[in-house]
Amino acid sequence: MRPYQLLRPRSVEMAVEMMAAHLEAQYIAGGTNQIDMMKAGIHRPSHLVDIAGLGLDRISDQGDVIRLGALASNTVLATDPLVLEHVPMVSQTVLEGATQQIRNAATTAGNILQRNRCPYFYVPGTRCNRKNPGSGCDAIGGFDRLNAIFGTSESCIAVMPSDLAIALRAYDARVRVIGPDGMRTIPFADFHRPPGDTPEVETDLRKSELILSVDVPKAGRLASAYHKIRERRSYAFALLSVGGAARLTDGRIAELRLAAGGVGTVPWRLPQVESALIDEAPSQEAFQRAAALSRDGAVIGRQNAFKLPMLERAIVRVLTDITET
Amino acid sequence: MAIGLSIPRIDGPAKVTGTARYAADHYPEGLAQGYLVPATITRGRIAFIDTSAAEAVPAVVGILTHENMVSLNPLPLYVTPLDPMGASGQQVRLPMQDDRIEHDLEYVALVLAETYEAAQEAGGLIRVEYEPEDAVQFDYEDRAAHTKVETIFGALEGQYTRGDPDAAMAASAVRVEGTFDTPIMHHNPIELHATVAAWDDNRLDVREPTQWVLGIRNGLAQTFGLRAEDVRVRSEYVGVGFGGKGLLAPHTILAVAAARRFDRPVRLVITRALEFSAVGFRARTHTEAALGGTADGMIESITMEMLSETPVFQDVAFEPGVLAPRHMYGNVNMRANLALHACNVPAPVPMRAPGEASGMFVLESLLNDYAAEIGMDPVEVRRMNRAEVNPETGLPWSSNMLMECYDRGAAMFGWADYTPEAGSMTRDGKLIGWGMASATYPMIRTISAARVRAFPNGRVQVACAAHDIGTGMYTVCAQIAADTLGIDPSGVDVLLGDTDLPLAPAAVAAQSTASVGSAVQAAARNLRAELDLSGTGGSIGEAVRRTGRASVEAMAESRPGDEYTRVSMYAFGANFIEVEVDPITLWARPTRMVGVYAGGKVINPTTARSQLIGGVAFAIGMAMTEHTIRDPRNGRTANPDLGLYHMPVQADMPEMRFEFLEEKDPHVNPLGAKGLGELGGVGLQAAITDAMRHATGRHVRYLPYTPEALFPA
Amino acid sequence: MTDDTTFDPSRRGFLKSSAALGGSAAAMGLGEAAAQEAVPGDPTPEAVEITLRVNGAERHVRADIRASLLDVLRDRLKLTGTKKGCDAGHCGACTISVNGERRLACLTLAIRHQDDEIGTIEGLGNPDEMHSMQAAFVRHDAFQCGYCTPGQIMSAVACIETGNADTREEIKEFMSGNICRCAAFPNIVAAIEDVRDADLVRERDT
Repeated sequence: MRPYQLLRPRSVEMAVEMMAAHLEAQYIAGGTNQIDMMKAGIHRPSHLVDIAGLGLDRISDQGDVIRLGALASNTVLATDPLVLEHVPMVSQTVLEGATQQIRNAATTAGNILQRNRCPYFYVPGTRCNRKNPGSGCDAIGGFDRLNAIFGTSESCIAVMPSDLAIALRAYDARVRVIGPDGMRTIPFADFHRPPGDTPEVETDLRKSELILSVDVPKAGRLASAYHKIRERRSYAFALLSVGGAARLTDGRIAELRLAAGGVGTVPWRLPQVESALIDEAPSQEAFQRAAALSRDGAVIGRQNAFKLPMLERAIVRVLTDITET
Repeated sequence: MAIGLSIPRIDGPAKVTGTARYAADHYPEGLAQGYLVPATITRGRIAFIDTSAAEAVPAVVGILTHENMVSLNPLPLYVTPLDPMGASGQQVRLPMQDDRIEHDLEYVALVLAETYEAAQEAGGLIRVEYEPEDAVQFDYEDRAAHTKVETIFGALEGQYTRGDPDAAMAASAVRVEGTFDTPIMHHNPIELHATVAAWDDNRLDVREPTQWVLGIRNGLAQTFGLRAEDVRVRSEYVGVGFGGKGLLAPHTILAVAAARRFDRPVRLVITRALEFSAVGFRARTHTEAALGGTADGMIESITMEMLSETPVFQDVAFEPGVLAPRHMYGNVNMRANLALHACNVPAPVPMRAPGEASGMFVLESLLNDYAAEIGMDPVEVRRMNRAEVNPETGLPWSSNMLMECYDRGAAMFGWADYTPEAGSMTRDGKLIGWGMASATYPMIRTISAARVRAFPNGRVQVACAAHDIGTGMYTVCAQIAADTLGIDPSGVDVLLGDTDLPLAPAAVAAQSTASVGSAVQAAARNLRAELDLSGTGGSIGEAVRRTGRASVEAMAESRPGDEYTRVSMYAFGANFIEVEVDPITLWARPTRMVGVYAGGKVINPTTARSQLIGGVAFAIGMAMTEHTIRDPRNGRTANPDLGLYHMPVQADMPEMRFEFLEEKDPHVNPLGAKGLGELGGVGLQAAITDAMRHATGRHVRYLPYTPEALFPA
Repeated sequence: MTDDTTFDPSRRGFLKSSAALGGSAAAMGLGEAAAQEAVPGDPTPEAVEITLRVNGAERHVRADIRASLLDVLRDRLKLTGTKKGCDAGHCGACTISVNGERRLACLTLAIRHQDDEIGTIEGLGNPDEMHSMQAAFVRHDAFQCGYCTPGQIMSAVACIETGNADTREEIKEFMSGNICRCAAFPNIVAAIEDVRDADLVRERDT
C-alpha cells in the first residue's frame, strides 16, 4: 500500500473539489472493497477523500421514488421500513450478499462500485485488462467458470458481482451524481459499462464525480424474489442469481421485471423473457418457454456453458415464487 | 473417575477471552516484521531480481533473496511424522537456494521492515524477471509419465493384489465401474502460518504454530547445522492444523535465516494467498475403479487404479487412497494400486484422513452404485459383505463393531423408511435423498514420554512435548492424570507444545490420545507409586508435604508392543446423511446427518464429538464446496483466497447427531482408546453423492459436486 | 415532496463557486489533512498519531497511516485477542465492534476510527470473569483450536443484540461470516441460543 494523505472535507462541494485537485485521489466511505484493492496494490491512491459524515446516508420517500443515500449502509438497506415496503428486492439482494460484518460497513454506492471478482484480476502476475489495460486477458480460455456469458468482449469476461445491482437493474433505478460540472442522473441501465475495448472503465462516472443517491421507483405492489446459487450456502459470490418482481391481474402477468447476476459483465436485464410472459397465465410450461429465451446473445467460454441451463432454471424458480398466489 | 467424562476444556477460558497466545501473538523486543514475495510462474528461473526500489522504502530493514540467502544443509527425502525424533523434511526443496522455480507461489524474496505496512509496500516493489518454462501438469492420460508407487509411508504396499480380481470381475453377474476424481484441497487453518524467530548467539528460539515441535526443531537444527538442544520450538496454542502444520516449511527456514542475517528477531505471518504455496495441500486423485458381484449382493471383486500427484523435486504419496479399501469387506478379490505423476506443484502433506478421504469415497461410491444397480438396501449390502477378519492380513480384529454401527445409525436416522427409487422421496416441495457409507481409521500408536509432577498445594502438573491443535489434548491429559491419581481434573495443569518438555509425537493420524495418553497414564501411575498416600485420605498435597520437597515428579515412556503382529486395529463407523434438492434449480444442501462410531474408549465425549463435527465439515467441503483450481495452461493457482476457495460456513451445516458405541478393546493400548476424530470425514463424501443420486437419479463421481452435475443429461 | 435532508447542490450555489476553485483543496484550507509530521530519526516516517477509544479507554498510539484497524489493535496496542485470518474480509476472525455494530477490523483503516467506540474480545471479560457468551462457549464446547473464537464471540454477542437470533436458521445465516475451520458450528449455535434464552428469562424476571 502506498502512503496516502487523508483529506476530510466538510461538505460535498469540498469533497468534489478535493477530488478534482488530485489526479490519483479516491473517495473513501465504507472502504471494504477499496482497502482490499489497496492491500493488493491494484489501487494506489495518493489521497483519500473521506466522505463519511457528509449526510449522504439517509433513506427517504421522495414521492415516486425511494431515495437510497449513497452512504446508507447495506445493513440499513436490508432493514429500512421504506425499502421493505416499496422496494423489497433491494433488501432481498443485500441480505444475500456478503455478511453482516461487511454489510455494516459497506454502502449503497460502494456496493454498486465494487470491483469484479475475476480470479485473474486478483492473482499477481496475471494478464488482466482491467488491472493493466492492454496486457491481455488470462480469464479467456482459463478458469472461466465464474465468468460472464453476456456482454463480454475479447478484452474481458469478468462478471459484475453486486447482488444489489440486480435489484436496482430490475427496478430501473437512477443514480444521482455530482461532479465539477454539476449534478446529473444516470439511468441504472447505463451506469455499468460493458467492457468493450476499455474494460478498465467500469461505470459511467466521470473523474471526481460523487454518487449522492440511488433513486428507486416504488414497486411495492409487485411480489419479488431473489434466488442466488453459489458454491456454498452463504458468504459467497453468485455462480448465478436471478431477481424478479411481478404483478398479476386477473390471473395473468401484468407487470414483470427480471434481471440476472453472475452471467453478465453488467447487471443483466432479461427483457425478452419479460415480454414473452406479459398477459400470460403463470404455468411451468410458460415459464420454461420464456426462460429459454434468456440464452439470446450468450457467448460461452471453456467452462461456463452450464450457466445457460442454470439460468433458465433459476428464472423458472423465481417466476414460480413471485407468481404463487 | 475422570476418564469418559464430558468436562469442559481446561484451556477454554483462555481461548474465549483472547488471552491464549498463539505464535503470532508474540512480539519480541526489537522485532522486524516480515513479508514474503511469491513467484508468478510455475516453472523456470529467475533471470533478474531488482530490490532497489524496495530497499528505498523507508523503514525497510533488509531483503533476503536467493542472491544473499545462506546455504542450507539438505533434509532427508523421507518424512517420518510418526517418529518423534525423526528429522522433519517436508521441503526437500529448500527455499531460495538457487534461481530455480519449481512451483507456483514459490518464495523469491523476504522483506523485513520496522512495520508490516512498510514490508508489504516494499514487497510489491520488488521487480523479478523470469525465464518461464512449460510446467508439468497433472495429466491422467499421459500414462508414460506415471510412476507406480512401490511403498507407501516406507512400509505399506503401493501395488496390491488379492486373489484374481480380473477373472472374478469377468465372471461377475453384475458390474459397476466408474472414474472418480477428488480435488486439490488446502488445509486453510484460520490461523495463518507464522514464525517468530530470535537468535541469542548460537541458540535459536522459535514460536511456530505446529503439530510437531520436535520435528520443526530437528529440521531446523539439521538445515542450519545446529545442535538440537540449541533450538527451542514452542507452540502452546495452535490455530488448528489438519496435517498442514506438521512438517518444516520454507517460511520458517526463511524467518530464521533472516533473523540471523539482519540480527533482529523476526515476526513473519504469511498471507492467505501463501497458504496455497508451500505449506502443503491434499493432492488430487483420479481413480478408475470397478466392482463385480452377484445379483443378490455378494461382492466378488473390487479393482482400483488410483493416480495422484507429487512434486518434481520429491517423491511423496500423502493421499494414498488405496489403503483403507483393502480391509473393509469380506474376502473379495481385490486390486488397489497407486501411481504418481510428478508435476510442478508444491509438496503435498497429509490432510485430515489422508487417503481415507479419497479412497473411501471411491470404495463406498462403488458399493452404493452396486446396491442401486441390484435394487438392494445399501446398508444390507454392507452387512452381507462383512469382513470377519482383516482380509488384507488375515489377522483377527482387536475389536470391530461396524455391524452395530450400521444398526444403531440406521435406527437413529430412520433408515427403515428408505425407498430406493430415485426421486421417490419429497418434502415441502423439495426432493429428498438419503445416503450412507462406512467409515474406518487405523489405530496408530507411537512412542511418547510424559512427566507428571505434584506440588505441596495438591496441584498436579502434566508436561510433554505434545500438542493441542483443537483436539482437546490439554483436557484429555488432565483427565487421564486425574483419573489415575484419583483427583478432580480441575486440580491438574498441563504444559504442552515445547521442545524443552519430554518427548512426544506429532499431533497427526489421530494417534495422540493413544500414544501421549498412555504415557501420561504411565507417568501418573509412577507418581502414585512414588507418593506415600497412606493415611492422607488420598490427598496428593499431603503426600508431597510429607516429603518436605518442593515437588515430587515421575516420568514414563510408553511405546507400542507386538500387538500389531497379533491383531488388526481399526476404528469403524457408519455415516448417514439426508440431502435436500430444489426440484427446479437442482441445487442441493445437506439437511441432517447421523454418525455412529466404535473407537474404543472415549476419554471425553464432548471433545470427541467436536472432532467428529469437524470431520463432517471436511467431508461436506470436499463433496460440495472446496476445490483449489490450477490454471490448465500454466498450473498457476486461480483461487488462492478464502473468497473463492469455499470452506463450509454455518449455513452449510446439517443438523447432526452422533453416538459412540461402548467398545472395550484390550489390545490397542492401556487406555483402550482408538482415536476416532477422523471418522466423521471418512465415507461421508460417498454418502452425500449417493443421496444426490437418490434424489435426482444422477451419479456424481467428481468432487466437489457442481449443481449442474444433477441436471438431466 | 422533497426531503430537506437530501443534499441538493443547486440551492447552495455550489456550481458557481466550484468552477472558480482550483488547486489543492487541502492547501486552501478547505479541509483537514491528517496530521502526518515526520519525527526526526523516526524509522517509520509514515507514522501518525492516532487516538482510539478501545474497550472504554482512550489509547494514544503512533502507527503507520496505512495500518488497518486490525494491525493497530494487534501490533501497536498488543490487543492480540483479535485475530488475523485472511486480511481480506473473507473469514471473520477479526470481527470487533464499532459503535455497537460488528465490523471486520482488517477492512478498515485505523486512522478513520478516532471518533468511534471500539470493542474487542478483551473488553468482554477475562478468564476469571467471563461474559455470559464466553462462558456459554466454554460450556457448549463452541470452539476447538480457539483461533476464530474471539471473532465468533464478538459476532455472537452482536447477533443477539441486533435481533438476529430468533431462530436457528437465522443464527446460522447471521453467523456465516465467521468461518470455523474446526467446524464448531452447531455448538456455536447452541451457545447463542443458550445466552439468548437466558437473556429472555432475565428480561421476563425484571
